[in-house]
Amino acid sequence: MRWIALQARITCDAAPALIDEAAAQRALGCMALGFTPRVVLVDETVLMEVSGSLRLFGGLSRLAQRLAQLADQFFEQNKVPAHMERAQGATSLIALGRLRQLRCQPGAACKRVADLPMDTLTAARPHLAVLERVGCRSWDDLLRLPRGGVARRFGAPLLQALDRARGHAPDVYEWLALPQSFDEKLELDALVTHAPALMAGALRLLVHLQALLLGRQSGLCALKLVWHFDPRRDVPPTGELLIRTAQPAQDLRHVARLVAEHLAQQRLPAPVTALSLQSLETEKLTDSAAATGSLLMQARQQGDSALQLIERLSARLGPTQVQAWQPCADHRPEQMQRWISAQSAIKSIAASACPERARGLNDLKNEIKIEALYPTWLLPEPLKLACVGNSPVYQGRLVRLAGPQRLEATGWLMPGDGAGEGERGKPPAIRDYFIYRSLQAGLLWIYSERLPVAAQQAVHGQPRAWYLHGFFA
Amino acid sequence: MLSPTSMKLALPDFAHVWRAGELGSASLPGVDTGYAALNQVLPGGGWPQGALVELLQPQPGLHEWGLLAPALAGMQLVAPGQFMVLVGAPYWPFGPALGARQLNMQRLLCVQANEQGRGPALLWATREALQCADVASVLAWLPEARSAHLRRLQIAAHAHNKLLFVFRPLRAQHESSPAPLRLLLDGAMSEQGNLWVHVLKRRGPPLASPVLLATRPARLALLLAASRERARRRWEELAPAVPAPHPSLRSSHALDRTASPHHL
Repeated sequence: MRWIALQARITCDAAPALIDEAAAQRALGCMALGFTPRVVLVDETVLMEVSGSLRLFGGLSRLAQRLAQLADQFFEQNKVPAHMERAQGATSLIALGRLRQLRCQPGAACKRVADLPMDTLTAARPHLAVLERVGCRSWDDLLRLPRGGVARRFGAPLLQALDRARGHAPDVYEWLALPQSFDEKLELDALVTHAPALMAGALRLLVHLQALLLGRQSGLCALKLVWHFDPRRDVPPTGELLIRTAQPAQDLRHVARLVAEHLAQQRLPAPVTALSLQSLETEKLTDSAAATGSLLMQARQQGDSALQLIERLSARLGPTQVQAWQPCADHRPEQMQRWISAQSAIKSIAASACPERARGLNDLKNEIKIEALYPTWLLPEPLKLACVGNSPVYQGRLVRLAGPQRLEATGWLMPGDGAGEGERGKPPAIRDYFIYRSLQAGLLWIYSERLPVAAQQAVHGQPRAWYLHGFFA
Repeated sequence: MLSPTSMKLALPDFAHVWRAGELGSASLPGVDTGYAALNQVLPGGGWPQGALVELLQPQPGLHEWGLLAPALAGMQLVAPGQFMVLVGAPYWPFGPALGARQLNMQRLLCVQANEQGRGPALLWATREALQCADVASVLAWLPEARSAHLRRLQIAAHAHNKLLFVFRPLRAQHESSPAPLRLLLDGAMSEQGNLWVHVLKRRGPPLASPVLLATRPARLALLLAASRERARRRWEELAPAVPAPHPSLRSSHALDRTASPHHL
């Protein structure tokens, strides 16, 4: 049996800590669950039994090192001034006793279990004064006393604890089990009227959530933040915010930034008294140890990924303002491409980032029509130009350089085409594209819309309509 | 006064001493611009990585792709997974034409902002894009940016080693700028090229004469040359008696005159 006792120690009391000792203990417990299923929270410490995991993690010292690294990373990410202390022993009470001794006298490593002071045993704490007076200072002293007398004087629990500490009785605990999903409510210290101020409470909840994710070795895909309004006001009782991420995230700093962006746009109709956070969707991370275990600087990405960038930009500017390109099979220039919201296309962007999919991309690239004679900028809507005589004018006189290039501008292939001219009640049209040059605006792509022959005769007297459609930049 | 040779003796070649008469060198090699004439006048032999390049032009949407597409396509070839971000682009980039210039449109993101608070939002988006690990280059159209804003962008580009191009209007020419490289773009109408690049500021001696570049794709250039030739011939047929204008005049203004009789 190998037991490790852990305790988080908040080093700086003055700073307003994001988590208190109890939350830190729970977080450590969750992290310990990543190494062994036998974890229990006892008093102020976390006890874990690791004999079953030693081979997997390459020995006790390796395991302890990785655990310390994980804890340091967690505290550092959440900017908590804390560090983890640990001690180990053959039974849980020895590990616990050694940890407590380490706290009282840092550096005083106990050579023998029997020399551990009396107050490191929880069961002996109610009787410390009496034990002190009868001369029992260490566990050894107590063991020398006759068992019957000790049982009569101090009660059975002390003897049982001693037996368990010495390994004569089994260590029985109810192991720590994590819930499937996270749902926690936080009563705020003061009424909050300004939405960004909710962030402080949300951060506290996110730290708890992250600890849970670490323990479950999963990443967060979607969460719901609910704020409860002051019940005395005549408003709906709660307001909520739903946030999804493209990739399951265990490091919640990115999620926290997304929450902050969304909160900055919220308006609160009434003061808020409480916050609650629920994890809606989590996903098992296949190799979370590998993802966070690298110590090499090259392996760590500097800055965030493109998906995080898209999510963050969409959160602040609005999802329609961040756009990705999508090709379409159509002969009309304005239908050859579509700019779609990048957030809706985020799955395909994530998939195309994989190198094994790159070949598929190249195939796709071959399908895209490539034409050097098209302009590099396209106007979202063709701009109707003024005419002088029968020629168009844009920022002054224009000179025709090339053309015409004739194009059928009706979606005759697709009768139900929503963007087609036919639906707007216009007759089918033919466009003649020309390249014009302007002194100020460079090369322009201009078309004149021609009605088909029958209709053209009807409107013969009218000048043609000219539209600016693009720029050759 | 020291002659160049004695100065060379007095100041031997130290790697870390920069002479004001020479082009400065960047810590990272520049990104090939795709134009030999331009590479020669830029410090580091190309677009500087990790520095703000300020491009001034009369109006947005004039010369961007012609000037930058070769370099951007080269960057995409080196790192196919990296993104290119356009912030506040004046129009839609047209995929088929940019595909012909070897750009992978799938790796392009366009960021726009609402009218209200547009300037600060675009600046913020530019900085965010610079901080992203998966972004190789950022093109930003920031007409309202001030010098202090550009300084922050320059710092961000330097810290993350990104290629950053900022397009600004001509009126910014007289403002001070933190950009280590400032170019002024001007359209040209000669047969040798269509773009004058004036180097307003660089790490090195000032450049007296601008560089002329032909930035149009070959097919478009051929088409334009052919139509120019056709127009010239038609003009000669129409007016054979009129003596041919001076060759230099004809080369620059022939199109204006020859085409006008054929206006619809």
